Amino acid sequence: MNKRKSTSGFWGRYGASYFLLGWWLILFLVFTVIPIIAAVILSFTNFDMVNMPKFVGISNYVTLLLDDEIFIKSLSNTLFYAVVTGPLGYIMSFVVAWMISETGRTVRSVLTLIFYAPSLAGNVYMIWMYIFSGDSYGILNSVLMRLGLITAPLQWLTDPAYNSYVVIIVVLWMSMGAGFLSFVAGFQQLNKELFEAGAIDGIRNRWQELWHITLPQMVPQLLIGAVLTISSSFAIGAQNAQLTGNPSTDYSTHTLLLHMSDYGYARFEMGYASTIAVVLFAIMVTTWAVINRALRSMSND
Amino acid sequence: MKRFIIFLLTALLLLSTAYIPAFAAEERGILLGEGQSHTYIVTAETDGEYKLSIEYMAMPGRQISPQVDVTVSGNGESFSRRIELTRFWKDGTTADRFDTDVKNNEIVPDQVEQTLWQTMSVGFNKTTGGAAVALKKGEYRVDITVAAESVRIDGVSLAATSVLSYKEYLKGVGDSSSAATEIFTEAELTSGKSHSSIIPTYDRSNYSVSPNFYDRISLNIIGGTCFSEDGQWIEWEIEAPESALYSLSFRYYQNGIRGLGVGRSILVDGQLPYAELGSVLFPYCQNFKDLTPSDDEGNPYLIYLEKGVHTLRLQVSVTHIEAETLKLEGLVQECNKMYREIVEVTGTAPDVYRDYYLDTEIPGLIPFFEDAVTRLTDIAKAIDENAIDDGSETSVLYEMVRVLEKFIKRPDKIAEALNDYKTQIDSLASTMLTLKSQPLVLDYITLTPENLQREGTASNFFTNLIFRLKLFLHSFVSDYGTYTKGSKGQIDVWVNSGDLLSSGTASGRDQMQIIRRLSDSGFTTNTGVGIKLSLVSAGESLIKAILADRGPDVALFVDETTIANLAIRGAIADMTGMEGYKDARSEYPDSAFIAYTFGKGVYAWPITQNYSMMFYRTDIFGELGLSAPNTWDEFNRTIQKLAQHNLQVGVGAGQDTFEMFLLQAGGNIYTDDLKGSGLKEPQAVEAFTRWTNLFIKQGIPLAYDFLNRFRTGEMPLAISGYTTYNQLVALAPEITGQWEMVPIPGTYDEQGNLNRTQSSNVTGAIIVSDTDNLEGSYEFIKWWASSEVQTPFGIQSEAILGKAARYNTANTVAFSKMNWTTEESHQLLTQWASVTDIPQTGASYYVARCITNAYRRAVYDYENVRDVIYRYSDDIDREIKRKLEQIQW
Amino acid sequence: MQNIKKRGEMSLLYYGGKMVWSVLRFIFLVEMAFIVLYPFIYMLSMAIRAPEDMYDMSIVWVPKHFTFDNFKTLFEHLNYESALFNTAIISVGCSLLQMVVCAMAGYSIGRFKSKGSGLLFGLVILTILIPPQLTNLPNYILLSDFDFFGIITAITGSGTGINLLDQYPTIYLVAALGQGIRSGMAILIFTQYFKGIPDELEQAAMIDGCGYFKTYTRIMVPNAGAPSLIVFILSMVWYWCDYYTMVTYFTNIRTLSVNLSGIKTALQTVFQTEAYSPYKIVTVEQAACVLCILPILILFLSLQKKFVNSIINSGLVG
Repeated sequence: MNKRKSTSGFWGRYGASYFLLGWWLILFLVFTVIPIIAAVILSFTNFDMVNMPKFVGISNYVTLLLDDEIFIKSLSNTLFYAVVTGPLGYIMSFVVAWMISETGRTVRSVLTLIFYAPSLAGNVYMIWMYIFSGDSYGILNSVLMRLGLITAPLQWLTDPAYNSYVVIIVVLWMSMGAGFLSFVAGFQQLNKELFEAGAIDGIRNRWQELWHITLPQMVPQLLIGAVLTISSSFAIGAQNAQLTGNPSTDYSTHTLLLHMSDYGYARFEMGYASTIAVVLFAIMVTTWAVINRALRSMSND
Repeated sequence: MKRFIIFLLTALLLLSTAYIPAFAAEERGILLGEGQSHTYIVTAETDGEYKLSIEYMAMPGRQISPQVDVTVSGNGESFSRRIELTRFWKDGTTADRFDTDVKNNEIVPDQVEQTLWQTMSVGFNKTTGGAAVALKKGEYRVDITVAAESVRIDGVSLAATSVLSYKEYLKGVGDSSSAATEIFTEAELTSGKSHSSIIPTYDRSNYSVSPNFYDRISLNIIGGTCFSEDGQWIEWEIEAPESALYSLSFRYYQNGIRGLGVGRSILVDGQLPYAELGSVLFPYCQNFKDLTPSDDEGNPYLIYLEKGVHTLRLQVSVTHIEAETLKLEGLVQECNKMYREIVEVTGTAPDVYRDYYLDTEIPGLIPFFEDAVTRLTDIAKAIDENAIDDGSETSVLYEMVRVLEKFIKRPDKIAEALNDYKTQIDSLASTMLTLKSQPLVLDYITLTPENLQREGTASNFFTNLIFRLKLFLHSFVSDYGTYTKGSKGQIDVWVNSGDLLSSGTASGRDQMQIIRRLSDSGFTTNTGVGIKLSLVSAGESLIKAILADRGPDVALFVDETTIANLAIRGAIADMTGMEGYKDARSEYPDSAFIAYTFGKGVYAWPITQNYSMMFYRTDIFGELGLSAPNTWDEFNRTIQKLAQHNLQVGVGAGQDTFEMFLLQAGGNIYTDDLKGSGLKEPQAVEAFTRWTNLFIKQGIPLAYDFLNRFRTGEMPLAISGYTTYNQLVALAPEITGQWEMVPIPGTYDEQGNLNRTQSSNVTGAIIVSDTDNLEGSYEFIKWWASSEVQTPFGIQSEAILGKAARYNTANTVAFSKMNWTTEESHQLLTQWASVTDIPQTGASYYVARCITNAYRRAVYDYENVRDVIYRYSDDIDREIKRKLEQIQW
Repeated sequence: MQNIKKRGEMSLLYYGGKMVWSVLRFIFLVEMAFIVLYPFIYMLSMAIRAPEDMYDMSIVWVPKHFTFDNFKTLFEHLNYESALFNTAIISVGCSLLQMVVCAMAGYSIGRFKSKGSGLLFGLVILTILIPPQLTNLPNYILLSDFDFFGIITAITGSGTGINLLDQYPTIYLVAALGQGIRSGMAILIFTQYFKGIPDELEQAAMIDGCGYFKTYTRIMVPNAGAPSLIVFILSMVWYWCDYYTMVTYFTNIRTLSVNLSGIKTALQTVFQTEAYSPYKIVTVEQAACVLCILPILILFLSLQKKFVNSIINSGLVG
C-alpha cells in the first residue's frame, strides 16, 4: 500500500516549501536585509570607517535633499542615463530583435550572437578608451583630424560637453543583454495565426501589426526587460568611472552610484553614503512599482 | 745595550724599505678621477688595422662602469669614442649553488665587486663603433679623459688585430689526445660578469630547463635583457680533466631578434682563440635549443684545453650588425631633423587642404629622401644578407622606403601624411634599438671532446606536461606571502604595488623579493622579529582591511592622500614615538615630511620623493640660438620663439605645475592655519592665470607623448618628473649627448634670489595604530629608512628592473650612492634643495578635484580665470568647513 | 469580385514593399552589427599582431605579422593560466550551485500560494534592484570576521571569528545559499517557469504517492531543463565578468576580470625589463581582453540554439 503523505495541516501543506525556501531565506536576511538595515541606520550617523559612528539625526537627509548640488547633478545624470539607456536601449533591443526575427535562421543566430556579445564582454570597454582618447593619436581624433573636421584633438573623455555622450554610446553598446535575448525568443514563438487573422481584419502596415498583435503577446518579456533595465540603468557607474575618470570633470558623468561610493570610499563619510544609498534604493523601488503596474494593466487589455 | 737597540732599529728600517717596492708595485699605473685626463703616446708599427688596448683597474665607486672619452690623433687624422671600462662582479654566495630562503627557494645573490686589473681591446672611432681602425704607420697621441667614475690606467697601446683563422689554429694545436668525459657547467653558476645587473633568474615553464623542481624555485638560467648590451660579458670556470680538443655546446633561448640572431664572442682564458669565434650567432627560437658553433659544413669548432682550470667568457658581440645600426642611428637623426624642417613650414597638424610646396620651400627635401631611400635599401639588403633566418626586422625599413617613395613622387602629399612620416621614424628608431640589443638566455654549457658523441636533450611533451601540472597543483599549497620566523614575534608588512606613472615608483614582486632578502639577513637576524611580506594594491583594500581589523602592521609605498585620510582619523601611528627618530630623520630632507605632519605628529615615513626637472634639446637650441630659460618670463619667450619654428613645449597639466607657480609666488593652497582655502589670495590668482595661460594663450598641448616628441625634436623643451631622465637614457639612445636635464625655471624674489621652489610627490611607510607589535614595527621602519637598506634596495631594484626604473629615494645619503653621474647628481641636488611640499588636510582630495575642474573650465570653456578660481576657492572653503565639523586636523 | 481584385493589388504592393523593406532592414542590421562589433574586431586584430605592426599605417585589420606572442607573455609573465583556472572553477561551480538552489526557491515561490508568497516574490525583486556596492562593505566586514551568532567563537574559543575571505569555499557557500550574483534574477526565471506548469502534473504525482520532495526531484527537475540552462548560462556570464564581488571576496586569488583591471600597471613593470615599446603594452592588453571573453563567447556560441529554445519554453515568454 502506498503511504499517503498527509497533505493537510499547515506544515503538511507548506512545510516543504518552507524547507526549500529556508536556505535562501536565512542568508537573504544576512546578506541583503541586514546590510539594508545597516545602511538605513548608518544614514542617521556620521561614520568615517575608522572610529565609531556618531549619531546625528536626520541632518544627513537634510543636507542631501536641500544642500547638495552634486546630488542634484548626479540625480539628473542618473535619470538622464536611465531614460536614455533604459527606454532607448529597451526600444533598440526590441527593434533589433524584431528585425532579426524576420531573417533566416542561421543569419539570425549569428546576428543574435553579435548583438549579445557586448554584454558578454563585460569589462572590456578599454577599447573605447583608445577610440576616444584625448591626444591626437586617439582613433576618433585622428580620423577627424585626417578628414579635416577638427584641427586640434578634442578631449572626449574629460570635456564636460562631450563625455556624457561618450558614456551613453558605450552604455547603449553594452545594453543589449538578457532582455534582448528574451525579445528574440519572444518573437520566435509568436502565434502566426494571429498575424493572418490580422491581415484579414484589415491591418495595412507594419506599425499596426506591431502595436495590436505583437506587443500584447510580449508583455511578460517586456516586464522582465523592464526590471533588468531599471536595475542596470540605475546602477550605471563603473563604466563612467573607468572612461571619464572618478570623479569626472565637474561631475558631468557622475551618477548616484558613483556619488555614493565617492562619499563612502574617497571622502570617508560612510554615513552620508548610506543616506544616498537609501534614497537611491527608494527611487528604484518606486520606479519598478510604477512600471510593474503599467505593464500589468497593459497586459490586461 | 744602546748600540744593540740602534742596530735593531736600523735593521728594522732597512727591512721595511724592502716592502716599499712591493707596496709601490701594487700602486700600478695612474689614478684618474672624474674629469681628469692623461695623454699617452703610442706607435703603429706598420700600416694596418688597430684597436686600442687599455690595461685598467676600475676603482670602487658607484655601480656604473667607468666611462672614458678617448681621442686618438696623429698623421692628420683624429678619432674619438666613449668607451666603457667594465668592472668585475661576482656572485656573493656561500652555498654550493645559491643561498636559499626558509622554503628552500634559491634567492638571487648579492653582487660583489672584485677590484682587479683587466685589459680591454676596443675600437676607437665613433662612426665605426667597435671595429678596428685603419692607421698608417707612425706615432699617435691618445688622450684619455674620465667621464664617469675613476680608474687606474697602467698602459695604453695599439694592438694590431690579427687573429688566427681556424685552420691556422688547428695546425698550431697539432695532434690531440682523446678525452673521455664531457665538461658540463650550469650557466647560472658564473665566476664573473661585467655588470651587476647580470643576475641569475628562473624559468619554470619547461621541465627541460636544468635544474627544475616543482616544489621550489631554483635559479636555473642567466641572461635575457640584462645580458644584451655591447661590451657585456659573463665568465665561467671550467675544468678540463684531460688535455684534448673540445667542441662547445650552449643550451640557450633567444626570442629577441629573428632574422639576424644574436651575436657573441667566445674567449678562452681571456683570449680569442681564432677569428671564427669572434662572432657566433645564436638564432631565434621559441623554446630552449642547443647551439654548437660550427663551420659551414656543420663541423663543430673545436678548442684545445690543457688539463686544468680555464675560464670561458661569452661576450656580447655586435660586429655583425654594428655598421648597420650606426648607419641607422645617423639616418634617424637626419630624418628627425628633416621632420623639424617640415614642421617649421607646416606646423605639427598641417592643413590637409593646403599645398605647402614643400619641395620648393625646403630645397634639400627631395634629394634627402632619395638619398635616404638608397641608404635604407642598402642597410636592409645588408641585414637580409646576413640573416640566418626569416626575420621581420627589415620590414620596417622597407615600409619606410615605401612611404618615402610616395613622398618623392607626390611632394604635395607629404603634409597630410606627416603623421605617417613621424610614426615611421619612431618605428625606425625602435627597430634600431631592437637591433642593437642582443639578449640571450643561457641554461647550461657543455664541452664535448672531439671523439665523443653528444647526446641531445629532447624535452618530452609528457614529462613537461606532468611537471607543469605538479607546479600548478603546488601553487595552491604554497603561500603567496613570504615570511621568516623570528623569535620575538612577527609583523605583517604590505608592499603596495604602485602605479609607475603616478608615484614614479614601480613596486612589484621583484622588489618584494629584494626586501625579503634584505630583511632576512639584516632585520630578522638582528632583532629577532620575523616579517611576513605581501603584495597588495593600496587604496581601497588597505582602507577596507584596516577597517575590518585585518590590516597589516606596516605598509610601504602608500600615497599621500591615503596617508592623510588615515592619519587624521587616528588610524596610523605617530612616528615621533620611534626611538632614534631624530637620527633617522637627519638622513631625509625636511620637505619630504611636510605631507605627513599633522599638528605635532609625523604620521608616516617618506620612502620616495618625486619632483620635476626641465629637459631640453641642446642641439636644437644651439641651432636656433636659444639657451635654457632660467625664469618663467624667459620660458614664455622661449615658447614663442620655438612656436615660430612650429616647435612645441610640454608642461604638465596637473596640479603640480600649478603648485610650482603658486609656491614661487609665495602663496599656498591653504591658509596658514590650514582651515581655509588660500586660493583667493592675489598670489594664487596670479599663479592660476599664469598656469592656464600656458595652455590658452601659449598653445601648449593638453596631452602629449613626451618621449617620442622629445626624440623627434618637435618638443625640444619640456618640464617633467625627473624619473623621465631614465626613460630617455634607456629608450632614446640616438639623441645621447644632445639633451640636458636642468632645474625648472624660477622667479626672482625681492632679494634678487632665484626661487625655484616646487612641490613634490612622496610615498611613505605607515604603521597601523592598533598593531600588536608597535616596538617591532618601529624597529622595522627605522631599519628600512636607513641608508644602509635604502642604498642596496635602490641598486638592486635598478639592476633587476633596468635603468628606466631607477629608484627615486627620498633618503639623501642613499641618493648620493645611486648610479647618477656627478653632473646629473649636481643638477638634481640643486633642484632638490628648493623642493618643498603642500601640506595635506582632510579635504585634499577635494582640492585636487576643484583645481582640475577649475583648470578645465578655464582652458576648455575659456571662462574668466578670476571668476573660476574664486568660485572653486569658495567651494573648497565650504568643504573644509564641512569636514572640520566631522574631524579635526 | 471586387474583393479578389483588391487582394491581388494589395499583394503586389505588399510584396514589393516587403522587398524594399527587407533590403533596408538588412542594411540597417549590418550597420548596427558593425558598430557593435567594431571594438571586438579591433581588439582581436590588436591581440594577434606583432608590436611592429602597430607602426605600420597600411594595416587596418589584418596584421602582416601574425603572432601569438602576446598571449605567451600573458601566460608567462602575468600568471594568466591560474587566473583562467580560478575564473573557470568559480564560474562553473557557482553557476551550478545557483542553478540548483534557485530552482528550489523558484519552485517554492511559484507553486505554493501560501500567505507570504507575494511578499517573498517582492523580496526577490528587491535583491535584483539592490546594487552590489551597497552591500559590499557590510559583507566584507561580515566575512572577514565571521561569527555565526557567537557559535563559532564558542567552538574555537579564540575570541574572534574566522576569516572567510580569500578562500574558494566562501564564494561557493554564498552561491549555494542563494545569495550569489544576481540570484534574484535566477529565482525569477525559475518562478515564472514553475508558475506555468499545469497543476495536473503535480496532482498526478501526489496521487502516485510522492511527497513534496519526491515530486520536486522526480517530476519538476527533469522538466526544468529549459530554465536551468538559461540560469546556468546567464550565471556563467555574470560570474565570469564580475569584478566587484571578486574584489571583495578575494585579494590573492585572482580572476580574469581582476587581472584585467590592473593589467596596465603589471605590464609596465614587466616591460621595464625588456625593450620598452608603448605599443607592446597595447597589444598584450588586448590579448588579455580577448582571453577574458573568448571562453564565454565559445560557450554561448555552442549552446546558443538550445539557449534560445529554452527561453521560448521556459515560460518567460507567454
